[in-house]
Amino acid sequence: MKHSSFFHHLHPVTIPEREARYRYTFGLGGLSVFLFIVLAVTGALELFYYVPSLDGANRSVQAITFLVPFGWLVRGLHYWAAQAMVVTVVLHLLRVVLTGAYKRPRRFNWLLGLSLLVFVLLLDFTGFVLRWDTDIEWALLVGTNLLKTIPLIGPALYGTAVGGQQINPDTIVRFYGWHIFGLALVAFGVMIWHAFRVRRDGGISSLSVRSRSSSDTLSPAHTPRISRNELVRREVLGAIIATIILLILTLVFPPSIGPVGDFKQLPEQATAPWFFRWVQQLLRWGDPLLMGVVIPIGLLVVLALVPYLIDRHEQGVARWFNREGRAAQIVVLLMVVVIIGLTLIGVLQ
Amino acid sequence: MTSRLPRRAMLKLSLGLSGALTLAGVLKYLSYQSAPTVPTRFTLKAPNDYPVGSVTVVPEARAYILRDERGLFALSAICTHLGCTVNHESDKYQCPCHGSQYNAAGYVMRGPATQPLPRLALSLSPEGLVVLDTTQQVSAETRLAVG
Repeated sequence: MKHSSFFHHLHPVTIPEREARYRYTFGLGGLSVFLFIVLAVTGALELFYYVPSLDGANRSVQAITFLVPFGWLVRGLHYWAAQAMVVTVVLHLLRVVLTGAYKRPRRFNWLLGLSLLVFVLLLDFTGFVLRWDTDIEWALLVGTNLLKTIPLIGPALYGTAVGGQQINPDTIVRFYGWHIFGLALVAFGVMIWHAFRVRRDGGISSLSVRSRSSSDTLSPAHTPRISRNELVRREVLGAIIATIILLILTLVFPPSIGPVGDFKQLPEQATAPWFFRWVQQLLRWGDPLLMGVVIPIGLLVVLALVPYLIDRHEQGVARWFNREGRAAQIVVLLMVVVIIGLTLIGVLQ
Repeated sequence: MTSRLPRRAMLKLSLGLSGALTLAGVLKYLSYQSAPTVPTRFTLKAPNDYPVGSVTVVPEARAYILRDERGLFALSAICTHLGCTVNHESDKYQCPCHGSQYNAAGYVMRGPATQPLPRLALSLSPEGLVVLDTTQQVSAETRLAVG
């Protein structure tokens, strides 16, 4: 590899050795960026064949999957990178919480990251819908009907999302537009801002604080650091391993494509996509607005308040399970347990 | 010496305002709805094609046509919880999404739905065929009398 390229220069010159270890961050943020790149490339390739119309959507996905040379590979990688990204961003969020990396001055970046979580979930959802088969019918119906339950702005929000008073042929084009430009492109911008903020807030949350004047020869020897070349080497290794895993998943569990969804069939099973099964379970218990909108958004609000209300200590950064952040750690871990529990209940129904 | 802050605040305000106006404009842009392409009136079969005691599904309309001794009536198959299409099973309607159950007359037996399945308007076409209008709701007593 070239000694120093544009890609190298996107990274800080050095980063603290302690926090550069896999077992500090597990490289989850970087992995998410890599997965986004995979999604952008495979998505662009799919764009050449996907037709966002009532007659074309399902048919073109079938063509990509069964006819286009390596189409199965492109689609498989796109699908698995998407599901993997939901996992990596959630784990990344957990890592940030457990190492106190949300504390000042990183509080705004925490909010940026939360918005990215929402983007990733919406991207997975809209992407899922685009295949327009019988499996997506219920997910689309329920997901969009949830918007209608919101008082005042509900119907308008629904119209903006769906492109009409109900799901109609225009909805496919609408979701296509949302998926690529409304969500992915905007998320890309937020992602860059998020990465920029990491640098601006002082780099990876760390125990060692760089002395302001690095040329000060009298400052105490600072803690060990690794070079940007070494950092890039580790990222490339992570990317290679991630690619191998994505390939294996694609080969062993290729994404399905069912018959065209026309909303007239009455299938027995109605399942939400896996990352929303917990919401489906909540919905089984009562009022749609409360269960499907208020509670999920409420959880998001609690997450947003972590660095502003739940843990305002500035101490405890860069230590796993730091004492000062105990309240935040408990709240977030509890949330994770509840969501996983809801998902399991839903799956075992 | 004039303070520099009011000018900066003014510029920020104008930027914010133009941003808000642009956002409002974009939302208005996205709100257009072309003429509804989902049909709401369905011309079905002759009244006597629906025997007394029958429950006939009309998939395109997401509804069921039923007939009792007093005549024909139509039940919407759209679950009142979150809009999934309910399935007819023996003498009840089951929603596959969140488990709501309705009895043969469309009343809620088990939640999370809280409202009964609406009754939809039936009429006769000039040719004497049953016409279903999914935009009109009627009372539970209403029947399309079959001569």
